[in-house]
Amino acid sequence: MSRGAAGRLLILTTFVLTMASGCASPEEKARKAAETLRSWQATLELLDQEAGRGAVPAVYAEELRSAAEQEIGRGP
Amino acid sequence: MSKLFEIALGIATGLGGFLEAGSLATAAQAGASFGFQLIWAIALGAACIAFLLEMAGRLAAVSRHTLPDAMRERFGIRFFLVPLVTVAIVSFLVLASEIGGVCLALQLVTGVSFRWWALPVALVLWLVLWKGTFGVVEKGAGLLGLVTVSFVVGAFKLHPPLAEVAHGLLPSLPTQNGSQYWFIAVSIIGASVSPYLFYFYSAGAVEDEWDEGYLGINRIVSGLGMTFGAAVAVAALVCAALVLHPLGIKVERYEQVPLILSSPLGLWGFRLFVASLAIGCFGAALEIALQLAYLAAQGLGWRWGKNLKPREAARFSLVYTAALPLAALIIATGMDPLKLTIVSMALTAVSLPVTIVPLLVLMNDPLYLGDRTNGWVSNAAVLIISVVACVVALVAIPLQFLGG
Amino acid sequence: MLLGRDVLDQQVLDAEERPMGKVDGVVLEWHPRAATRVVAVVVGGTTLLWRIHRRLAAWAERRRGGEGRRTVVPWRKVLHVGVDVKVDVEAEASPALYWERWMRERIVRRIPGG
Repeated sequence: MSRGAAGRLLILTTFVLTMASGCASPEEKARKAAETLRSWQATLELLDQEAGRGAVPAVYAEELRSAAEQEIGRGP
Repeated sequence: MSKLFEIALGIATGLGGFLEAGSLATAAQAGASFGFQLIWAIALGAACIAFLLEMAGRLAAVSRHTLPDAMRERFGIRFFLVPLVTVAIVSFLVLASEIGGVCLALQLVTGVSFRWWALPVALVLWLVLWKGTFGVVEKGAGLLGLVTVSFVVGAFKLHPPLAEVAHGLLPSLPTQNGSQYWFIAVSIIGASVSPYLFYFYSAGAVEDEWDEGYLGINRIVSGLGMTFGAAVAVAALVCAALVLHPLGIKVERYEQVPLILSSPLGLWGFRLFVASLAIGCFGAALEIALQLAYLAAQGLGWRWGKNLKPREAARFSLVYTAALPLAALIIATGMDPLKLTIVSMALTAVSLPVTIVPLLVLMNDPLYLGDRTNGWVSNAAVLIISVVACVVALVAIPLQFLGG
Repeated sequence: MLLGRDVLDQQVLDAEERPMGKVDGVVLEWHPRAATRVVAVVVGGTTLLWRIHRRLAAWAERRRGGEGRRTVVPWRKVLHVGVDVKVDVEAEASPALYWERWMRERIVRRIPGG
């Protein structure tokens, strides 16, 4: 395969993949947002559990809570 | 120093130095999102880097050239500029990620935002390089890095189903979230096969004046060091798989990750996690900063050496002196360290063909390797690695838009 | 000995094995009826830029007003061509280490511990 042809194939492949990937459907996006929310809720539950038995220091627990707030607040 | 001691030290530092920002972040994400499914990626990445380290060491021992040195000589300045600039940019981003990792560890303990730690951490890194006898520091950082073995302890305490873990060694296709799966797989490979590792290794081999008598040691150290190191990364993945995955927790911030060790090991687990993150990233940052200086010095013919006083190698020393605060600035701007880490791992994967192919050419050139050129096994391994790296590179960029 | 393979881009060491840079260029003397001879090796200056891109080199030379600080080592002073190119020159005295010296005196010495 000549250099030019290989280069064009590469550009075409990248373009096709990008187009195919970039167009996530609204259902897909909503599903992902719900997943993220559940993930952070579960994180906070696990954190409460760990903090409750003294497995993590209070400073850290505070940080994780505010990180969770930031991420949840970010939204879809 | 007896050869046995050298081997043991080499393996220990390889083990201790394996887990840093990239491998930890990607292992945690992989375990949380896909359970044991991506263990094969860690194994493949570790096999890759083991082969590449062995080659870099062999090149240094036989030809007495470091990799940038040999690359410029063999390919001429024009072609050499391409890998030089590529590796420099990618390494710089990874350096910023490692500084970010140290800063995050400090934040986890003190509550003070990572942004404030960036420049102080860069200053400490610089002081260590400027004033230290690096040989000692390097071994020291590697040995301290053995604290990462706590992930192995944590993993066992969680009673992993060993059959399933072993099953994860076989590549499998994802049942959902395909794009994220491959993106993480790509990033794991990028985290394991970082160019700075084999560039740094070749410089060390030349500086330690390795000769053909060291070829055996070279093989053992690179092979076993990376195997054990990979085991630590797999352990981190297993912890995440058993703690986070069942609860549906995806890793999106570094702050979530300590839970994977606090769960099995309690408060000590938290402390060991923070120590592992800080030490692993600190050691890696030292190496990358030096490696950037090596790239410039070895490519342009300056005096260089990790044990030289700065006034004995002024230009060399000023390269890392400039690189450290610049990299720290990226973290100081507040860019999320986890995102930066994952992105720079993916970019590393993209850049692999550019660094691996020239190395492959060199390893088959009798002018440099004499009769120690690559056997068919090494060639096949690197060829497969190059193809994987190439495919991975082609897929990684568009995947950034999906999975990232 | 092949110039491109064995000489160009090789590490240059002075009489005391101090690194002096890389062979950035080679000066050849061409005669219409005799063999082309190697006259000298060149380290530093804009020499390297000419091999990267001539526009880049031309721009640099316009800005510098010349070819920059080059060290031209006559071929008779090349002692040995092997893993490195050893030359019978004193690195510290040559222009090759100009920037190294400059950075050492102006910057490194000013920083404590340098």
